[in-house]
Amino acid sequence: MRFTRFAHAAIAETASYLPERVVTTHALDPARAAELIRLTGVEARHVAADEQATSDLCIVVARSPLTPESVPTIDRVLVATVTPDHPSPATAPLVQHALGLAHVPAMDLSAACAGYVYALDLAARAVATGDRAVLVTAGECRFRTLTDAAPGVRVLFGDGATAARVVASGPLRIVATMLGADGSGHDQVRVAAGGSRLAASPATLAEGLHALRMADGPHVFYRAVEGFIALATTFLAALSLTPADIDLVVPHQANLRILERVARITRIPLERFVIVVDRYGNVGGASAGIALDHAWRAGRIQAGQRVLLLTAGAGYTAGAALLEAT
Amino acid sequence: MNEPSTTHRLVDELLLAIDAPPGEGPLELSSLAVVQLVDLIEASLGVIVSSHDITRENFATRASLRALLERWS
Repeated sequence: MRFTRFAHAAIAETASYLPERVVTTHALDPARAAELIRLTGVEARHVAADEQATSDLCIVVARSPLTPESVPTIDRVLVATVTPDHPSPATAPLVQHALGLAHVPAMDLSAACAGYVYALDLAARAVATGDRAVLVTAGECRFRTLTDAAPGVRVLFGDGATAARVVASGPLRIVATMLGADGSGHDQVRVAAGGSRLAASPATLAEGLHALRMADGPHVFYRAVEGFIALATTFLAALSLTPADIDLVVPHQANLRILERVARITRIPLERFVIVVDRYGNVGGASAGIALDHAWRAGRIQAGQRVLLLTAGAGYTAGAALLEAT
Repeated sequence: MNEPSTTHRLVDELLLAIDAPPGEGPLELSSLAVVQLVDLIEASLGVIVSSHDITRENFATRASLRALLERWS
């Protein structure tokens, strides 16, 4: 795990965007809806329109944290996603161009469901080395790729995007981050085909290898719980803090049952967790940012409070960040 | 360690609680059934089950479940 403290990095503003169309779990799988909701807690998710791709969601959401005054200060654009518009080129240049951010660097970042925190960490480093502001976006259009997925996988996911403008000084200070990865779990949650290991072909299409698959769903469930807990424990120890010092936990919205188990084992009351997975499903790398934006707009983050961002994703990847509201 | 009969009885009770099929054949538990079963095991034995033990093999049959529970009892 890589721990970093930041002296001068903050989130100036956040935003989130959920596409208009809502698909309930009952509509998705009437026969198994009750069982799937009991397993995941996901009752509905927003789904992108046919003509919308990930860049479109990121462009919509990124307009909010960009005021006319702030646009000229953006020195970098990051898009965290595992559902880019195309395998190549990256999605970020499309976002940069659409927003009129001429010639600033723009790149994608693939860290699965830890993508938002990975991107915040990178943005904080960029600000620490001279960038005036970094536009962080995370977005996913996952749902349309899940036609061939198992019902227990398909029910989990939704589409959406989030954005943050990261600057040197602002209302949500980025105090520290901790990032890590464990490639021993690389085959547990993945899209098998479409990359250089197994190029897209009629055979991969016929076998449904372009849908996200979990090798062993229950194992991944409990491994995710352990990942969240290990990350929180290690990060708080590095910060000389305890769970009692944290006012709000903003986790990756993996699955409501996972979050309930994390709360029970860590003895952090579930009321201190920001939970939107019931309404939006798992929005991959955008989930934590969407939850953070909702909490901030709802007034759940007050001056002086500490917010723990906690994410874990396929790969496996993990990322935590401590924010302090000023 | 529990006597085998105790473990037999506990496994039967736990599986009955989640409406698992009777007999010594494959249980073919759904993901939800596994999660519910783990909750019941933890409540019964006072343990936290590790992800290393959550495998298809360990939850495949009554015999494999008995072997798993005997390790913790």
